[in-house]
Amino acid sequence: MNTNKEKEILQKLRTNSSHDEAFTLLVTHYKESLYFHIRRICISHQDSEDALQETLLRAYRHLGKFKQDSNIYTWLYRIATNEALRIIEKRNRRKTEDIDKMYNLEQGNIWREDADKINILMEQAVAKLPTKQKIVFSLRYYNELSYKEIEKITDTSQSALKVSYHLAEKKIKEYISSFLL
Amino acid sequence: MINLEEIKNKHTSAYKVPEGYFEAMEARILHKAKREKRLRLSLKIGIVSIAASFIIGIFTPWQQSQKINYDLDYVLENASNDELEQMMDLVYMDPLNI
Repeated sequence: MNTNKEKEILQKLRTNSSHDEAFTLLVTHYKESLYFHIRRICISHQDSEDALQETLLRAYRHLGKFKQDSNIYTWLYRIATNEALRIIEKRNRRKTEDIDKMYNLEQGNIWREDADKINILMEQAVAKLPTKQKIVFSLRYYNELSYKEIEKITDTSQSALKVSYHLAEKKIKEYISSFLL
Repeated sequence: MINLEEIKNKHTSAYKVPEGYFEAMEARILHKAKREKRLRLSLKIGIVSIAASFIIGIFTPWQQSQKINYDLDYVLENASNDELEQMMDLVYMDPLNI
């Protein structure tokens, strides 16, 4: 995580008059990583868009109450994870099909045309993981958060997180190998 | 065996995102945040106005009733016997004969 940006945002938060500036910086800096974290959980762009919008608006509403002894990004990822989970729970109430049928992961047009095959396989493998493993893997692998930080985001013990990550990694490797060999 | 660290692609994800989405989303969120701030401010002003009207509505009649009580005490203390009798007549006057 970019600590300079984090410091800049925190500095602006300390002066009440620059709350809006702090929020603008926060949106500019974290929008993409938050979006892809949410997208890996929700898969559909529409759902991710809704979850991201709600995440950022929630952050805006509670920015004044943010405890400055913790990191902004762990706080943001916590909100984003909860929003994504809320959206998929709502979606699961409406639909019962599995994600393969819903999003056509293998042939669907949800992948960038210029993306490497290996990266697509990687994202497909992550999309097929159970939600908990998906969250842990996304935060650890793509966002490079420590287990301590992920513990704060998910309220799960570090040992349970390590097990989840290990299982996710194993499944992903198996999935990719089955296509490459 | 596959090494996941080797295929890590931190900055771009393979998921397709509509072109210009992030810029448009940022502008929309900042606009929504500004609108929410304005709405909250209007709501606060509204609540303060209602509270102020309520306090004024209660306090002013109470203050006036206090003044009337004070004036009546003053008149009764300083009135002569004749004036007191006239006042008593007015108090006990049959409303139908006014």
